[in-house]
Amino acid sequence: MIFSSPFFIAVFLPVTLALYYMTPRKLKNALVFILSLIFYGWGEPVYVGLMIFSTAVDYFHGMMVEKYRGTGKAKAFLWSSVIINLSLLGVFKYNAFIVTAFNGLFGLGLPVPKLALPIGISFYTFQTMSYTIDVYRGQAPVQRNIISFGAYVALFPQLIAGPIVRYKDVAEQLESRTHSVDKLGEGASRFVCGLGKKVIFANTFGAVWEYFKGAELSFLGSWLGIICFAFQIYYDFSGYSDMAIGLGKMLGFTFPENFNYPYISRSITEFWRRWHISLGTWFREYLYIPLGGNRRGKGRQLLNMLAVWLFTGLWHGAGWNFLFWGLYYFALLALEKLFLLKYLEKSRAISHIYTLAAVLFGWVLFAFEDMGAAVGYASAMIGLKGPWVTDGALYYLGTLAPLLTAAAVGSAPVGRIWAKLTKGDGLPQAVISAAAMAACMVVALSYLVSGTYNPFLYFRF
Amino acid sequence: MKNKLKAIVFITILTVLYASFWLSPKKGYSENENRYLAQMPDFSAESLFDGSFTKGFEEYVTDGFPARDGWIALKSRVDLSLGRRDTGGVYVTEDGCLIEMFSELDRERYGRNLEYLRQGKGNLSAFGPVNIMLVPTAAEVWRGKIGNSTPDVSQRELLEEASGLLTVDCLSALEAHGDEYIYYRNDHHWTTLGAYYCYSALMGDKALPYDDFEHEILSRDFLGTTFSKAGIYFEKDEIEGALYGRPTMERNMSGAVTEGIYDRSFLDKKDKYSVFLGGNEALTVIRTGSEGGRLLLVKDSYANAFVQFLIPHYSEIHVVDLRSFGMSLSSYADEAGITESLILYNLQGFSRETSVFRIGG
Repeated sequence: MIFSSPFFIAVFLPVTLALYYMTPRKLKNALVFILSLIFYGWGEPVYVGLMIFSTAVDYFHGMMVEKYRGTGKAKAFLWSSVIINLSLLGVFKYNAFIVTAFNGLFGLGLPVPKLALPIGISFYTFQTMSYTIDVYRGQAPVQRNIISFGAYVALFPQLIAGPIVRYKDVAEQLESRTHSVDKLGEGASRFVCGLGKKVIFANTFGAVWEYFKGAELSFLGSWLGIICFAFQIYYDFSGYSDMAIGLGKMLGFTFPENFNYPYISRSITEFWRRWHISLGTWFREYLYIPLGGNRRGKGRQLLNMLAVWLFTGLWHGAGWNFLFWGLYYFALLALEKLFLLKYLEKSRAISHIYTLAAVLFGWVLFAFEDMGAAVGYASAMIGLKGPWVTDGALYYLGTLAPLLTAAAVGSAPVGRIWAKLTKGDGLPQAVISAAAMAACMVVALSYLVSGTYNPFLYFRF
Repeated sequence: MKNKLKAIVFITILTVLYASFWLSPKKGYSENENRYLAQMPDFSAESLFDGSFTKGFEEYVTDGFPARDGWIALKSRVDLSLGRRDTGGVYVTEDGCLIEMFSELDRERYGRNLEYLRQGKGNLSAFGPVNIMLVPTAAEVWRGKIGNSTPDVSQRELLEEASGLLTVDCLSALEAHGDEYIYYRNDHHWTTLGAYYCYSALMGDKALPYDDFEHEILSRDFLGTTFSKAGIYFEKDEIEGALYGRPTMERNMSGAVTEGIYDRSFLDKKDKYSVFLGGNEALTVIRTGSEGGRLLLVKDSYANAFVQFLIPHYSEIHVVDLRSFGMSLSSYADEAGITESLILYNLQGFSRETSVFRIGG
C-alpha cells in the first residue's frame, strides 16, 4: 500500500486513526503492529512473513547480546545478526545482480533467479540491524517486549520509503509518547504537504521526464528532462518523508528529518548532508566510523569513503548504474575533500552552479540502467548529440514554466517565509493555514482520483 | 489554535471521504469513460495471497470514488490554471477544442503494420481494386490551434513513410478545410463533414456534391472521448447525419435486418458517435439499394461516419472490424463476391493497432 492512493486516504487512514485514538494506551503498540502488518501485507501478502522473520531474528539477537554482554558471545551474536540481515538483502535484492556478475566474470551460465524484490526490504533490514548494533554498543536498551519491537520494525509510516529511523531514535517513544490535538494537527498538515509534493509536483514532472526519456534527444530537451527528473525524485522522496513524519506525529512519534533543501547546496559534501539524511547517518554510524572514519590518516579515510559510497550506490538498486553512481559521488567527494572545497568557498555562484550540474549529471547515471543510453543522454546535455531544440522541448518549456518556477522556489527554504506569514496563533493565522492545508488536500485528491501517472519510485531500494 | 483547527479540518475531510465512499451509490458501468468500473472483489484465501483481493479493493476505491467526474474536472482546471495546455492526455485549445495528444509512438509496430498493409493489399487485389486511406487526427490537422510547437509526432512524416501504399492524400484534403468543423471538439473522431472531404478526394469526379445527401442533426449535445479524459468542455458537439436512399444493415450475420445505417438508441447514451452503424461490430453488411459493385471495407471507427457517403456507389458494403472479426479475410471476400476493397484507419489508432496482421490473412 502506498500513501498517495485513494484507498489509503479514504479507507485505511480514517480507520487507522479512529482505531488508534480509541485504543487504550497500553494496547496502542499492539494495534500499530497489527495495522502495520496489514499495511505491508496489503501489497506483499507473502513477503510479510519475511519481515516478521527479520523482526524475530533481531528481537532474539538483541536479547542474546544483552544476556552475554561483555563476553565474546555478545560479539558473535552481533555478527550473526549483521550476516543474517545482509544475507536477506543478498538473497532477495541482489540475487540476479550477483549471479549475472558471476556469470560474466567466470563465463558461467548459471540461471538468473527471478525473485520479486520485497518492498522496503532495504529500509527495514537497515533498521533492525541498527537495533542490534545499538544494543551491543550500549546506546539503546534491549527491548524485551516483542510487540513493541515489532511495532518499531513494521511501523507503517516509515516502513516502505523511510526515513530510516534508528532504534535509539524512538526507543523511548515506544514506551511513552504523548498524543494531543496539537500534534494531530501538526502531523496532518505535514502529511498533506508531503502528499501535495508527491502528486502535484513529483508525478507531473515524472510524466514529462518519461516523455523526454523516450523522445528525440536535444540540448534543451535533455536539460529540461533531467531537471524534471531531479524535481520528480526530490519532491517524491521528500514528499514521502513528509508524509511519514506527519503520520508518525499523528501516532505520537517524532521521526528524524530526512531532507533539508538539498538543491541549495554549494558543494557535493553539503548536498549529501542535506539529501536522504537518515541514510547518510546510518552509513556514517554503522560503517564509516567503525571502519576508522578519518582517524587513521588520509589514505585510509579515502578507502573508508570508497566503501561507504560503493554500498550507498548499491543500496539504491541492484544494478551497475547504481554502483557507478556511488563511485561518481565518491570521486566528487574525494576531490572536494582533497582540495576543491577550498576553492568552492570563494564564489557562491560558481559553487552553486557546479553542485547543481554535478547532481544533474549524477541523476543521468541514476536514471538509466543502460550505460549506453546514459552516455547518449549526457552527450546531448553537452551539445554533442541531436539538435539544440525540438518542438517538444519548447512546448514543455512553455507550458511547464510556472510549475518549474514553483518547484525551484519550493526547493529553497521558502517554508520559512510561509511560517513568518502565519506567525502567531490567532484566529486569522489559524484559518489561513487550515484553508491552505484543505486546498492542498483537495487538489492532491483530484490528481489522485484522476488516476494519472503515479509511480512508486523506491521499489528498487 | 492553528494546529487544533488543522486537526479538526483534516479529521473532517477524512470522515467525509470515508463516509461518502461507503454511502455513495456505486455504478457498475461508467458511460463517461465507456468501461466497466471495478467492483468489490470476492474475498478468499487464494485471492488474498496472490494479491488480487487487495489490488481489486484499491481499484474499487479509485473507481468508486464519490463525485469522480468532478474530481477529474477539478484536476484539469488546476492544470490549465498552472499554464499547462494539456491535461489527461488531451490538448485544450484556446478556441475550446479538446484534442487527443499523439506524443508517443511505437515506431516498430507502425513499421510492422505498414508491412501487413502491403501484404493485405496484395491479397485483396485478387478481388478488384484496393484503396487505402490513413486519416490524420486533429492533432496534426489542427496543430495550429494547439500552438506552434507540440511534443506530438509528425503525422505528416508518418504518412510520407506510407505514401507508396496510400491512394488518397487525406492530410491535404483535410488541411484544405482546416478552419471548418471537420473534427469534433470533444471527441477523437472526425465529423461527417471531415469524412466528406476525404470521400471527395477518394472518389474524385464521381463524388456527389455534399447537398445531394439529406442532412439531419442527429444530436446537439455530444461529449465524446476527449471530454471524458479532460473532464471539462467548452461547447458541445453536433452530430450530423448524411442520408442517401434507403439502405438496410445486417450485423454479424444475425439475420436481423434494420432499416437505415444509424442506431439511434445510442443518441440517448454517452457514446453518441456509435449512432453510425451502431458502433464497431465484427461484420456489418449494408445493402444500399444503389447500383454498383460489392465493397469490402476494412476499418476502424473512423470509417463509421465515412460509410454514409459510399451508399450511392455500391450495391453492398461489407464492413469488417479486424479487432473482432474471426474469419480469414480473403476467404470471406471470395464468398461474398467482393469486387473492390477499401482499407480505412485513423493514423493514431493504426499506429498502435494490434490486429492489422489479419489483413494479410
